[in-house]
Amino acid sequence: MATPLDLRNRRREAQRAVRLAVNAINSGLDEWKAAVGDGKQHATALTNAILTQLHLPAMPLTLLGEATELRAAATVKLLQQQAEAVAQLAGCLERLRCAVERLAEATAGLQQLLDSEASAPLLMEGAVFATLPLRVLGNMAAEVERMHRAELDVKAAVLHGFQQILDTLRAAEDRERKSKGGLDSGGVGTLAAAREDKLRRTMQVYLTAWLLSAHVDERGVEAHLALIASDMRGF
Amino acid sequence: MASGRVLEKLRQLYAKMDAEVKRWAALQDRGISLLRTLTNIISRIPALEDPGSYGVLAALPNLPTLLLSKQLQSLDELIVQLQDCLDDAQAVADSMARHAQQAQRLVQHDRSLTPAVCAVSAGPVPSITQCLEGLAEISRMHADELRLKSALVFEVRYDSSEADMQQVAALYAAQLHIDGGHVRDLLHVVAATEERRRL
Repeated sequence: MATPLDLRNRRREAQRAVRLAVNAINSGLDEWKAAVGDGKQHATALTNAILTQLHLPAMPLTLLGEATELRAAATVKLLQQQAEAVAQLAGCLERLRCAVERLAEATAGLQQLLDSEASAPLLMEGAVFATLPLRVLGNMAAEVERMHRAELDVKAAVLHGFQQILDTLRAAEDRERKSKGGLDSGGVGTLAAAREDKLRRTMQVYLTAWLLSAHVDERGVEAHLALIASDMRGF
Repeated sequence: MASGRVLEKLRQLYAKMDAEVKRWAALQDRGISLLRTLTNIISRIPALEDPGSYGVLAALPNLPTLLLSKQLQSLDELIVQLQDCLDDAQAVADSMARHAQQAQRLVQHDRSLTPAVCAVSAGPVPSITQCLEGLAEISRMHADELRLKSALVFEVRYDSSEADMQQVAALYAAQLHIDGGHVRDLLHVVAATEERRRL
């Protein structure tokens, strides 16, 4: 038979766990937002570098055209920029992974408590702070983690997609170099234009997918956190 | 002297008008920035609607629907923000019209201010008539511009093309009805002559 002291101790334990979880969620979300913002810049730089490389063969250089090997030198530089941007984007993905791990830690702390509750119910549907029971708080944290984990898969796919585009372009570049003895990756003419338009659209989708975080309902997350914060107020 | 007192009150209205012109400029910057973002989003929509543009993302279930609906939601929110921006500009234009009307009433109610007195200008200090005309002109320019902006914002729709949006953004930014230099001159002349009088 549980005494009132047991109940009070469990409630305190739950309050501590929720506070820790909320801190972890907030810092995880800050890290997530910062990494998405930085990643957007790198993805934009990568897209621009790829598009410039595609336009390069048809780009009118006027007087600069007299400089020998200018297009080749520009291509080398663009390839370098693309490699840097893709590495930075991979770094951002890693930061997103860390942010999701932080959210998972928050959920795990609450889940552990929910498990203890399941084996020896004390709090049951009683409020941890003012009104919300532990089950609801745990569900909110789990929901935030689930959304970000789903979105992490999209971000990983975006990086993979960009890498795939770079690989395809490099393969085409090598083929051209072997056949023509020069760098002429983009080409001109209707086929090249159609290929470029398709690539441009695909990169637009990748950029949008990185930027928008389709699986994350930001307003819902904010509402959850605001609700928990207001419930905790005064405790 | 009655005209001196009226001129002082007109200066106060000019100061208020100056504040409204600055508010308008801030709203103009906000509107331009919103239209730029709207143009970017609208340019992305055809790609998001095309299943062939998803590349490796096509393998992720539901993503095209989610992405498109989220993008349209942001577009919707931006259009609402642009409407709000226009509502704020309407408030500024109304306030400008009020200042111009107040100036007219000020002169009409003072019987000592005959047309001849109103036309007198002492050195660099503009005459009462010039002050009234200046306020009315600033108000009219902004009211005309607001009508144009309302028509332009009406053109912003989900199915607008990128080229249409670029044209809308360019016209919005150009402020065809407002001669910025002239507005600055009108405000400056009154403010600058006030300093001389104090000396």
